[in-house]
Amino acid sequence: MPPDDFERLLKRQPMREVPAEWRKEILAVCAPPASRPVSWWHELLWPCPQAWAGMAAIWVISFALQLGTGGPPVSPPQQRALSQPQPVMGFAERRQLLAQLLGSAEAAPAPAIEAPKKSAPRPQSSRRESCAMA
Amino acid sequence: MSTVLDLERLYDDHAQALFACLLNFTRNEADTRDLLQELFLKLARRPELLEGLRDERGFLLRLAHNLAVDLVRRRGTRERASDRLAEERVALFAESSDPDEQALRLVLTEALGKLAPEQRAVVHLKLWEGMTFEAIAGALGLSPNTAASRYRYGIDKLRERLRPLYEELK
Repeated sequence: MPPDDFERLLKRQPMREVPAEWRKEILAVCAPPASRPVSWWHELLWPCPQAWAGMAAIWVISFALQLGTGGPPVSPPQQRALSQPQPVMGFAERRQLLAQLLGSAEAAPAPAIEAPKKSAPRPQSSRRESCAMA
Repeated sequence: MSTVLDLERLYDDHAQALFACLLNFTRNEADTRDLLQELFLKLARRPELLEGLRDERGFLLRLAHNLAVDLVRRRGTRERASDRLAEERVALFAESSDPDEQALRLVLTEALGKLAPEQRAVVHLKLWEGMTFEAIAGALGLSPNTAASRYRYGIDKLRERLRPLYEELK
């Protein structure tokens, strides 16, 4: 059945055009991931953004803890000095250091190095042999 | 497998028809935008849907209609009622510099909005896509007889609503 005049009148009314900007937006969403433009920071952090986020969290937590303890900022050389194990000091050296710290006019005389005490001879295998030979 | 180039070709060939059909059905530009994107995204992810098709346009219109129906069902009655005001303001037709033509287009937009969605879909595909009742039936999942009867009811209601203006324009 051919359309009548009314139907022909309606057919002549043009539909609105699809907005031009939709084309780029829709095709961009549909593009495969490799072809989508990627920003430089995205390339830097991908493929493991979780690792970067974890490291950032650790830094933030340690910074917050440091602020919380209220300790004075320690310079890196001091940090290195503190972190290094201190050598074991002898008694004489400790007395001298104490005197220096207390600001004594005369450094406490270093005590004479005592001669090692003679101790009773310990049994030696050579003595036993000489006794035995005797 | 569809490449980006194929999608561009599909968009250039069919986006206008899909836009008009979806806009007439949903009466909402934002929904139309979402549905159009959803449709092309579906095609990008499943390019095999287009393999061996004889009627590409018919298939895409069917896909668009199904997506639109799903959206309306998801929305529910409450949202549909609150969107009626926005639907009445949707611009379906291109603007005309002739005041009589512009008045006709506005009244026609309103009259189409008063049709049941399924009648509106059939009328749109018949009048503005020039499809046969068999093709419309395939696109909307109806029998050709149902498509024809829905068209008759729809066009008669439009004729009744536009009669004063139509008589004036004759």
